[in-house]
Parts: sequence; C-alpha cells; structure tokens
Amino acid sequence: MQIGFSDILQIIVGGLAMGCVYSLVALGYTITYNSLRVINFAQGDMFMLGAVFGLTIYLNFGGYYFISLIFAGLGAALVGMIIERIIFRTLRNSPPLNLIIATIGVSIVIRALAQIIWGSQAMSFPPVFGSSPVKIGPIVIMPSYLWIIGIAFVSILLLTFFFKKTLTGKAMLATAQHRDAASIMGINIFKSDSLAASISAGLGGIGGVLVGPIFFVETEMGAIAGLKGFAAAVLGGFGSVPGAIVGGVILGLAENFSASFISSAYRDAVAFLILIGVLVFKPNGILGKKIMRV
Amino acid sequence: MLSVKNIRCSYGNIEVLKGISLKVEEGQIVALIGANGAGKTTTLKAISGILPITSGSITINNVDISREKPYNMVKHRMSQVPEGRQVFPELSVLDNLLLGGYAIKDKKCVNDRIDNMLEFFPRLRERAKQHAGTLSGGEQQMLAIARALVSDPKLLLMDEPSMGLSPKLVGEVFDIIVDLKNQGITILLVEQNAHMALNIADYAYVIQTGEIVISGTGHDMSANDEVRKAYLSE
Repeated sequence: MQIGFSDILQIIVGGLAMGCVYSLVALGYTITYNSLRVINFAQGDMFMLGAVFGLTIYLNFGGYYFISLIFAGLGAALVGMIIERIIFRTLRNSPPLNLIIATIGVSIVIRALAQIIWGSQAMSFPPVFGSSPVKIGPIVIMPSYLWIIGIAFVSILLLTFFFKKTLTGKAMLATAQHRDAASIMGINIFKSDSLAASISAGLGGIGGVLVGPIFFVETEMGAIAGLKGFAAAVLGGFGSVPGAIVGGVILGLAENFSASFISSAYRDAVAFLILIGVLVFKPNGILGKKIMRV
Repeated sequence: MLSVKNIRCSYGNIEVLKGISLKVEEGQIVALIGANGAGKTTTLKAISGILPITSGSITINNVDISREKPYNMVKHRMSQVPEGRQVFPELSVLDNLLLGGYAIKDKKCVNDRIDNMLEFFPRLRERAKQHAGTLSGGEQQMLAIARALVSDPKLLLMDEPSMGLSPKLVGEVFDIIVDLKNQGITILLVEQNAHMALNIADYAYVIQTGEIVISGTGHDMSANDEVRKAYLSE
C-alpha cells in the first residue's frame, strides 16, 4: 500500500480526535488524583455513562445532540458527585490501596446497574455528525472527527478558564495543595472535593458522548476507555494537567499510526505498550515532576 | 477574647492534649511555648477546628466555637498563619492573597486589603505574579502573614512564624508581630523560640506533653528559673 502525504494528514486528524477523547478521560483521572489523592478506576465508567446517557437523551428528547452532550456530561458529573460523597469521603483517611479497591468496586457496581438498565447489547448512535466525509484541501475527513476535536478543545478551554480565572477554581487548587490552610481561609474543602469528583466524571462523560456516534455504545465500553485514559495520564505524567492533554493526544496519534502502518488488530495494544514502557523507563511521564505518593 | 477551657484531643488512641486551658485577652500577645511534640500545634488546630476536641470548650467573645467547622472560623474574625507557612505553592502570590479573602463577600474590600498588604510587604508586590513556591522562606512567611490578614481578623493565631528563618528575618517577623498588636490585633503566638516570644508577650503559657505546666506574664516567665533552664537554655 502506498501512503502519501494526504493519507498521513488523515491519520493525524483521526488520531487527534481519539487523542482528544483520551485527554478528557485522562484529565478526569488527574483532577481526581490531585484533589482527592485517589486513582479512580471507575473513571472509564463515567465515559460509558456519558455515552449511554447521551444516547438515551438523544433518542427520547427530540434528537438534539448538543443538548444530549450537555445533559449527559451533567449526568455523569452527578454520579461522580454521589460517588465522592458516599465512597471517597467515607474512606478519606484509609490507606490508598483500600480506596483504589473501593473504586474498582464502584466500577463493577456501575457496570452492572448499567447492564440492568440498558442491556448488554451494543446500541448504535445515529450519525449525528453527518455520514458523508468533507474535503479540506487534499484530505478527506469524517466531520465527526472535526466535531470531536472542536468540542474537546472548547471543554479544555473552559476548564482552563475555570482554574485560572475563577475564585472557585482557585479555591479548588488551593484545597488540593494544602487542605488545612485552605479550610482556614474559609474554603469548604468538602465542596472542593465534591466539585473535583464531578468535574472529573463530567469530562469522562463528555468523552463518552463524543465517541458514541463513531463507535457502538455498550455498557462494557468503559473498561478499555478507562485504561487508555489511564495510560494517557501516566504517559503525560500522572497529576499534571497539561501532561494529561499531551499524553492523550500522543496516545491517539500513536494508535492511529500503528493501526495504519502495522495492523489495526494491534490498535489497543499500543496503549498498553506505552503504559508499560513509561512505567519502566520514565515513571514520572513527560511532564510529571513529582514522584507519585501512592 | 479567646477562652479555651480544659480541652482534650486525641490522635487515634493517643491523647495529645490532656486538658488545656488558656485565655487571650483583647489587644494582647499571648505566647504558647514548649518543646517539639508538646502539643503546641495541636492546640492551634483544635482552636481552629481542624482537629475535633473530645471534651472541653472554646469560645471567642463568649460565642462557643467548640464544634465549629474550620472554614467557618473566618466569620468569627479569626485567622491563622499555619505551621510551616502552608502557602499555596502552585498559585501566584496574588492568588494566595485573594484566597485569604475567600470568605469575605465584599470583593472591593478584599482588593483594598490586598493593596494594603502589598504596600506593607513591598517584596510581595515585586513577586505578585510569581508562584508562591518559588519564594524564599522569609518571603513565604511574609506571604502567609499577609494572606491571614486579608480577611481583616481581630484574632490571629500564629504557628511558629520564626521557623527556618535567619536570625535577621526572625527579628523582622517579630517586629511585624508587635506592629500588628499596635494595630489592635490580638495574637496567640506559638513558638519554639522562647526567648523572642517571651520578649514581646504580654502573657505566656508553657506546654509540656499536652498540659500547661507554667504560666505568667512574659516578664515573670523570663525571670522564672524553671523556664530559663528548660526553654531559654541558660
């Protein structure tokens, strides 16, 4: 097979789109970890919940994709908030391992509940982004990729604005950096925790709604998405916000290139190879600075 | 102003405060001195609500705050310079100060107070945009003090403000404390540097393994043989 310049561009756009989704999931891990010191293995299930919520809202409320996107994100955020309230806050002072195991338990419960509600069959999202490819210069792109990149970009922009410019965002960062000092300032640290968990879940949820229309939606889809988001976060440097974004994009590109040049059968293996490679050779990741405390 | 009556506090099964009582009168500097691990910081944490007390009571201006959440203390016009400064390292100096006024609704008032602080601590103005973690120890201490003052407190708890500073800076910090007192702020000062603390304190308590063992005016305490031997290394 001859691969030309325009093919490379197409591979890049596709990889970028998936990479943006991994970035959103990875950001969820990062924000939860920074604020709550928990690696939340139910993060992938927030992605799945986003997708099933989005599909349900889309099919039952008139088929407005953006409304589905927003409410699915909010729905996942609400689930994140509930998990924080019931699990994380209760186990706040337990050893990290207990917390991690608890998050795995949460993941199993959510998956089981979702299977009871939505069944185990794969569902398909209508092609909301349009099914005919668009031509931009020499390359032919599925419009869904452009939408995914655009929406993910806007989400990350809003997130950055929230943390850099709003007092609530700064209070959240302060809580993550020094809990006692933050509460002395009058910051309700539990509200910060709650917000961190919901933002993380909401980002994962948005990721799920974004890929819904290009993949099938099923209740098991969170497992692989969660692991890829985790790999992206580790690659970028666990705990680093820019790292999560960079890690996601690199992972998306690496996957798409290997699928095009080697074999699409190994697409999912790339994430794990990267994960193992980073953990062995550069445990702090690309942009991570401090050694993980867990 | 602040009255602590017979408070007890535990970490797990270990009781660390075994009935501490102390009083801070309005306009005074009261020092709480003692060795490492005696319970100085724990006492402050109990007062500010970070560590729940198992018995006893704490009142500010006769209002019971024994069970108050730490983030509600600002409402009682109480503020704190915490142990080891605890500036927010990855936020700018300005953001640190802004968060000092987090609980104050009137943001114009907060901005005025921040301006005052930057006037009072010109070093902080120079570094307003820098991350607090990049400041020197002395600058971080100034920032921690300034941050605590943004909420315009009547009562200020200070946990070892001299820790890790050069003798010259320690002098500066103590000058600031006296200055704050002259501005009408009541101060409860926890210190290991007993000599300096007793010099400026109106009243002082010595804490030992979770109990107050001696108390008296700063002057009396400096003259007390036991205190001199144990804490002033004379």
